[in-house]
Amino acid sequence: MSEIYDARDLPCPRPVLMAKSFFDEGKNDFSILVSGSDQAENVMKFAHSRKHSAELVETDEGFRVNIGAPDPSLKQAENSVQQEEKAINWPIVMTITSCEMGVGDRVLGEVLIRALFHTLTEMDESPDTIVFYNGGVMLTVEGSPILEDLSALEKNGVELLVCGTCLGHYGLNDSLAVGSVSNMYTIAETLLRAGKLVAI
Amino acid sequence: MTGAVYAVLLLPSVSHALLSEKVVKAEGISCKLIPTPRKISTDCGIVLRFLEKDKKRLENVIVENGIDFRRIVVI
Repeated sequence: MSEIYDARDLPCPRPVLMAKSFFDEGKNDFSILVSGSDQAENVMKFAHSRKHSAELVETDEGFRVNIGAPDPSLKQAENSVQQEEKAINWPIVMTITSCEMGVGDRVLGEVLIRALFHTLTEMDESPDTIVFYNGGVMLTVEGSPILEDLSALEKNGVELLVCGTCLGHYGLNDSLAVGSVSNMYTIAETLLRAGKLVAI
Repeated sequence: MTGAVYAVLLLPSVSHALLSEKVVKAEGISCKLIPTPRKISTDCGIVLRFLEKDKKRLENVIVENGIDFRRIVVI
């Protein structure tokens, strides 16, 4: 029976950091119990990024992520190849930190950011990942003027990472309309892995 | 919207574009502010895009609200 670690009271991204420290210690068989599905998903993603098997079990106590030994199966090998290809290609990462493009007139900034995202949907080259944090998360929630464009980008394979801490700060946890909730660990990794970082 | 024919309303400024969007949407006409398409102008600018079939209705709304505009171009 693998050990179960209770991370239900820990804020994002501590459950992911917990998994990381266990991997660093060489642990291969353990479970982490978290309170939210977003946190569980982040732990799963992290385990997969380290090529470990991970399964999610919903229990009365919360969401339990069972992590197993590194999986040598074909799927993992495919992921590995994909990651290597990604590294060779140097991913383009765009950061969005407010609802406006540039500093100055606020109304103009809002129009410009709408124009930017429309243009991105029409360009041959797209960012690989767009990271939204601080005020930028407001562009990803219900009522955002660029939801249609963000959905189109996501459909075309652009990864949209939305800072969960920021959504919580603005009371928008239940309003996310596009992209996936992320944590600072993943965000920092994404920024550090970027071949080209485009800060808006 | 596959196969949809669009037109754009060219306006003198961003303020005109925002006002146009507001009054056009208030009339229930679907529209979107987009950058001026390259084939129309290389200048940086914002235009209001809408379905070409709504051209007459949209033009009426703009005129009724006294909004100054340059021209309408089918894209």
